[in-house]
Amino acid sequence: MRTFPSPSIYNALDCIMSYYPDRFTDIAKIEIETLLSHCLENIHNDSEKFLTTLIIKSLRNLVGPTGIDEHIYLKKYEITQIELFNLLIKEFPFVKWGHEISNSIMFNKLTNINKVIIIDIGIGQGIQMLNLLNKLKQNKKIEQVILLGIEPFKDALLAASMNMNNIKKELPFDFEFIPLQTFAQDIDLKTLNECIGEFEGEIIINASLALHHIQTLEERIHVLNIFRILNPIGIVLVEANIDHFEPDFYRRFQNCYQHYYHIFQVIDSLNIDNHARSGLKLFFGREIEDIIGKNNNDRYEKHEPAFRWIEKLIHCGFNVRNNFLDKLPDIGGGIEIGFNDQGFLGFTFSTDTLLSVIYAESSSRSI
Amino acid sequence: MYKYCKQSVNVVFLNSNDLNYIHMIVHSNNNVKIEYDSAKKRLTQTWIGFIQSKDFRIAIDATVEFAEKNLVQTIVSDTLLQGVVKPEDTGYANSVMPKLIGRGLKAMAFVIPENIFTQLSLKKFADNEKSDKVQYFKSTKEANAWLDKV
Repeated sequence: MRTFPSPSIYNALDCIMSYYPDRFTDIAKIEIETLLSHCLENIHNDSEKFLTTLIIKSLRNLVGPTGIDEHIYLKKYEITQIELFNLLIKEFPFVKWGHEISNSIMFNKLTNINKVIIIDIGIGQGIQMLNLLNKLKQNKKIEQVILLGIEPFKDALLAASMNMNNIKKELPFDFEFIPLQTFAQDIDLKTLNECIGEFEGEIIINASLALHHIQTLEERIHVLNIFRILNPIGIVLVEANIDHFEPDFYRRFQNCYQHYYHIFQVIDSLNIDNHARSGLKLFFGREIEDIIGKNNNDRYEKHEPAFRWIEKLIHCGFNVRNNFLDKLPDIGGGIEIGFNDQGFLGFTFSTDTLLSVIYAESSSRSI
Repeated sequence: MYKYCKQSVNVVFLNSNDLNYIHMIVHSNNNVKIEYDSAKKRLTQTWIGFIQSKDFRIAIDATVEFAEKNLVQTIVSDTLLQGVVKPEDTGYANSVMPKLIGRGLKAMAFVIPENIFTQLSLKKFADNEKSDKVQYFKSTKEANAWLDKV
């Protein structure tokens, strides 16, 4: 039987994105509707269709409605916050192993330290810090830990406070949790000094998937400069290795597609059921909506490639370290973890390094 | 010599060399032309550019109406230069296939469109019409060659 090859979904989407900003004509809207209709067929079995649907959904703010409403189709894939939270922490390798590796770096750095303030930017509910505190039980030298948890969302910070209060009695060292509800870009030295008070000890800073929420380059530099003034023994950044800071819409779309295409392939490889898989993809739809569907000034998911974070750290007086772990875990799922010559630890799937772990020290401490 | 005949709504041409051959324009507008070859009992639809939903359905209806009154054994649908078709219009085209087959249609050949969105439209049609009777070709020459053998 003579048939014809299925048209490339990416090529069709690429064509639609090239209409931005002012060529979304009535015919273009029918093209969008046609692509959407194609993608909604067997969407649960095809990651590329799922991703394209999420990108088209994100275009709604720019294009307006078309004949098909994808919300009805996507709604059935929604999962509860608890399910999502557990999936991200326990199953999604970039979060699970990103936390694990940055905790290992901090644990190693604190080996001979007696007193430390850990500043965690974007602490959320404090799950990563709970794991670090549990790990620090093995450190016999440590006497006092102060954890300054910075988080803009009150509910998450309240949950973190509860978690920290619960673990406190299990810890063999003095422990104090200081919650600070603010956005990272609003941090200032005065506030930090007020929170910390007089303290004789070291400072270590952790920012896992947090700093890309800072909207402007100036604010990013400002925050890193403040961190540098604190003269920490180390700073660990975990960031998606992709350029969503890019102001040009079309190039940002291309970066977005490439990144999430691979992220979705990783999700497909996870040993979870289809419903959880789709729910996880839907979660990333929120990031995609920010990257594609919002005006640049209203965006918060502004990832940058690792080399640009490294440039900023160096600019602010940090020395970036490479080969900072002796043994790298084998996490499976087709993801290779390895040190990159540019100065970071990369999580690579297929040909794409999707996540970076960057470790730097204050330059005065490195000499 | 060309001779005007009353047939459906349009013009019929008689070819003076072959009295069995009648070339008839069944339906025509800026975006589609439907012709009938009486010798081969073949309808050829040639689509150009984007056609509004209403005009698309009128063309489909004209095809069905003609097939109800005349023997149509094969159809070539040349979509090479056709623009995108709304998903519900693609569904409408699918919905008339049983009628056409019921009236004696043996085979239908599509010329694959260049436009990627029209390809998606045709793919939707193809997914709903999985049959040896409908096949897809790169050119009208290939399409006609296959239909000639059916």
